[in-house]
Amino acid sequence: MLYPSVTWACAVCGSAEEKASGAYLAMTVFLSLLPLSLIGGVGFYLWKRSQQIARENAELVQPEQSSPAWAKLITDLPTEPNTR
Amino acid sequence: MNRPISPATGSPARTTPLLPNPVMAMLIFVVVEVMMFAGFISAFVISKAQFNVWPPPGQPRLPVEATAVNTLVLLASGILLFVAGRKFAKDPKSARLWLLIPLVMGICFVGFQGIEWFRLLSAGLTMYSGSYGSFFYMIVGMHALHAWAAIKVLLYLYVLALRGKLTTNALWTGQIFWYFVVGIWPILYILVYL
Repeated sequence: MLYPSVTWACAVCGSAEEKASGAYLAMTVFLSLLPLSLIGGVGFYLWKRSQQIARENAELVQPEQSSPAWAKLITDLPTEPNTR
Repeated sequence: MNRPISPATGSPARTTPLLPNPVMAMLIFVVVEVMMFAGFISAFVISKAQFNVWPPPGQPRLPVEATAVNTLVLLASGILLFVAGRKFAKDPKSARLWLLIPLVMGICFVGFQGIEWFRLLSAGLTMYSGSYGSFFYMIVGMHALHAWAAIKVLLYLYVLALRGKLTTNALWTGQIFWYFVVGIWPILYILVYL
């Protein structure tokens, strides 16, 4: 702590020059953001792909078969009022 | 919630995976490898910043111009593999030649790198001649190793294409690997050679 240039115990302490400190900072930011960008990029691509598949599946859905069978039975029932 | 119904069969349609398994596996592999190269780049940049003069005096100079031409060859191979994918979608037989050309270009790239390495070793640049040589051989060597593995994948795809057994998913997987090899090289070239 008192004599970092003598001990060289810490890699960062050993490079007190501005150029080296800038490199440390830049690489810290780079290595912090890169995995987030990669995972985010893959995640975004998968999301876009899921949207595309959902659209393709929506085109396959047949509206008349999408309603349950009991709904058709109800609509086929006679509509005259019961007079008895 | 409505389940998709296939108009042809009247039965529920098959659930489509987001990505084929080989493609997903290759994507994960590429992400991991990108992080490995990022670690190398980070170490190299920080180490380089410790020197007032880079390359260190007394070390042989890297073949900048010749490797630039080699870089163009590698980039062209990536474009041609993309064309091969397009051709394969239209007519699988016509894609054979377009698969062969990137394969040959890749072999040329690695072969030329090997020749340059031989020259540099003869000039005295070794893994043990300092951080300059260590980083050069580690970063460029690791890329060459990946390029060599990707060439083997391309060769496998080409053999499959010759036998008429090449599938879209297999080609897609190989393309991702090759694009990774092609895409990361200009970054390494700019950092290490220039």
